[in-house]
Amino acid sequence: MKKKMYRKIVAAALTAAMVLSMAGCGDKDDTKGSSPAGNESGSGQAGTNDSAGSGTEQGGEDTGNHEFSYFGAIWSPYQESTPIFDELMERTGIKVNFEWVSGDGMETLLSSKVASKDLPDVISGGTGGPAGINDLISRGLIVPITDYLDTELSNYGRLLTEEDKLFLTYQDDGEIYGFGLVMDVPGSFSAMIRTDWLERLNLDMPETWDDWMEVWRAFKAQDANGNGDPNDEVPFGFDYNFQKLVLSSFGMNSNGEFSVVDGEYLYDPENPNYETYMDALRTMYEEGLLSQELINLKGADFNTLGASNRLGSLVGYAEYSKNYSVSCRELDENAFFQCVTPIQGPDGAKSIPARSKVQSSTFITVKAIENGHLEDILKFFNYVYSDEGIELTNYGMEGEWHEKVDGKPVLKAPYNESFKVAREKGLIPSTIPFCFTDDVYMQILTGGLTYDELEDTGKTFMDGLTINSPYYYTEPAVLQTESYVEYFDLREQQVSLRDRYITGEITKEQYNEGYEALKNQGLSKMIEDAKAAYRDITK
Amino acid sequence: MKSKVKASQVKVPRKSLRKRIWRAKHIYLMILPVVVWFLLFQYWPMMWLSISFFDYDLYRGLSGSEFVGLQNFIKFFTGLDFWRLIRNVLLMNLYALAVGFPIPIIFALFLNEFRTRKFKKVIQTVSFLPHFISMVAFVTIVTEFLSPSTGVLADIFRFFGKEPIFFLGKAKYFRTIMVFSGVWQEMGYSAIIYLSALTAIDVNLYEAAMADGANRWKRLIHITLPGIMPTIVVMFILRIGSLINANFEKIYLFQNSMNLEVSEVIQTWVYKRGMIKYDYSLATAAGLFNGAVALILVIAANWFSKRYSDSSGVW
Repeated sequence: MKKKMYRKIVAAALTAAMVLSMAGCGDKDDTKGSSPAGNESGSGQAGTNDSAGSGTEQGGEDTGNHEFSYFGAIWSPYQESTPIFDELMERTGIKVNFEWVSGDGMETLLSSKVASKDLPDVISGGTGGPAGINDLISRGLIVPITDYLDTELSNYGRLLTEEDKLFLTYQDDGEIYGFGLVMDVPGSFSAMIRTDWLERLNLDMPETWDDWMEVWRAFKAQDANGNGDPNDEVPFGFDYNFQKLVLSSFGMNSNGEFSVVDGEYLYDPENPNYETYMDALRTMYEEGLLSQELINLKGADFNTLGASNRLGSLVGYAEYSKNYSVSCRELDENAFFQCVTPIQGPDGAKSIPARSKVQSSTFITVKAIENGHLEDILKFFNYVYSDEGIELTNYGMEGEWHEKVDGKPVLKAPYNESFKVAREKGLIPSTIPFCFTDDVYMQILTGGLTYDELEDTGKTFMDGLTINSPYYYTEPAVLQTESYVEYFDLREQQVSLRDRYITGEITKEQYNEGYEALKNQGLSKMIEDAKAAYRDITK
Repeated sequence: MKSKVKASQVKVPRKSLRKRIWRAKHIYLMILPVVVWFLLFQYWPMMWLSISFFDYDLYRGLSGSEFVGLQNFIKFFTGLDFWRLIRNVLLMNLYALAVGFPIPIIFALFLNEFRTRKFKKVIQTVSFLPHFISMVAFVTIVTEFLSPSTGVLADIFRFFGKEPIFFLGKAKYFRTIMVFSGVWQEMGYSAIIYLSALTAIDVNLYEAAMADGANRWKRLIHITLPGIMPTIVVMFILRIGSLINANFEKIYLFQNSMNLEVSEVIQTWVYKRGMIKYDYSLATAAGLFNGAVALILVIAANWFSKRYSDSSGVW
């Protein structure tokens, strides 16, 4: 009898344990939302969220019923909650229910939200549109804002030129859907070189392409960084995601994929200069003038290389000259990356892209209309783009954050020490759409000092923003035609062919053969559609 | 009393079944959560395979989507990617089958021959550990190991005066990296099942063989291997069933523009189509095709094992 009872207890305990573990599995699946079953359960979930939203509304006496949900990307050093956000909500009387997601989780979480019909009122990719946003637009899930630019969102509309509007236009229907950061500071990118390496090897500052090749070869052949190892130098580098910075030296004023040539919107691989670009990089790769791990040099990995005292020259954000010089000085006290004018290509081309003034990163979903939140969203962001809103997001509150000098806001320490500090504290919040003024940009850049008071690293950073002015070009918008979205995998395969050619994995014949196959599969249609779209919008 | 119950079973089998269930209610109760889990998370989602026959509208659901018949399947089969995906997944899995399948068996036999219990346990534990590393960490470790600038392998190359190779940047090494990193990760864990099968072999057989003068090798060939053969066959059938499946997470993390030609498999393609492009219908069509082929492979392997070996197969 006792034995029986013991068995029962053990069975019950095991069952309970399994039920609990099953519940855990269920939660996991539900969160991921990757299973199509999530669609069904998701309907209920949406309802639950809605009711949770109502609860918040009742609780928020000071904000009444004015609120909306905001699903946005976040990255370091930005904070999820800041006094600036609180102040914006206070001043507008609108509560924003932020839901932040970092890293690659954005696309997965967003697609599961879409599939479970749990769309937020506002979606933001941060510095760019979230992956798949064009599909949401084509499926009618995003609200066009074109008509509001002169009315409810007029403070944003006033900041846009006709060219900016063109940049933001969705090609299939001519509407504007996205809005985001407005930053009228063209200076951003620059070429830079280790002048201490030039001195060590007794080399002159390169001017022409041949000069640059000579310098890179010298960096490679000799112990340019003086650490006793003549083989660890990487003469030239660039962030893999910023191919446009290299394409521009080959006469392609590109956005990374397309450039405008003689008034025609041309896919870069179709450009006659593309072959020269690929051949030049292939030669450089073969000679070891580029990192062997070229394709892995993105973001943090590129920064690691820049700070390692192994990189001789680069094209990238001008601020890298300051950051990398400071980091490399821990290994070599003379380390100095000097910003220089763009690298002149083999055919004499010399240009560099200016920073895009507008970005299409934030979108209002149809859920906002269903929830009755559209008006609140427009009111909130219209305030963000108003003079008061611009002052608040750029300079914070008067007193603690800034003081007025001759009627102009001047940031106080520590808010003007660096962009990182300013962002950590909540200023210049790129995680939401706002207008970044050139004045605050310069205040933070100089830390309240004059040019002469800056250290050499600060000076060269500032130089990088000015010396390139004659060479800036405005990069054309990426025209998101239906075929551009549809054939994303063909574009991905073209990049693969390019990289394999540059690294010597395939011959030019193989590249051309592969590229022709891609064109036959749909790339040709995408190329022609893009040309037609450009003709339409420039009429 | 027992004979009475048996008699009633013969007369009224239905009642008997109920009674038997009632008697084993605790066992059924234990299995219930698993059954519910399978129904909810494995079988219920299968109903949504139907979206492969629709131009599925994510927001409006199935009722608001247009029925397109086999259009998505035709699109998938006639696309440039189809044969590339099939070739990649098959070559990778055949390679893994040829190398990765026998290694855990050999490893289990090797462990079984160890005399020192403590040493055996240490080896076993060390070989299990990689299985418990998260995939992201695992891929990072392998990437670092293979890095031509900072990797251990690059240092070894330099030590021997050779130029380091960027293995992850060369498509021809991709499958080898996948297979051998998989062996490192799963060899110890996969050997468990063979180790347990080894313990089930009657010790008397070995004693008799030893008495007859059989050496270690003979005992291995004539007793040990036949003893674990049913387990090997079952594992082989299961492995054949997954010939067209791939470790999505691992492949996706190792994928880059240089190895895309050989690393794109149905699972990564489905992910990109479904989760990035929101083309759920086409992605589901590809997934359904994948599942159907896997089912056919399992049935075929089971049939072959029953037909050409002494094994009774999985079912």
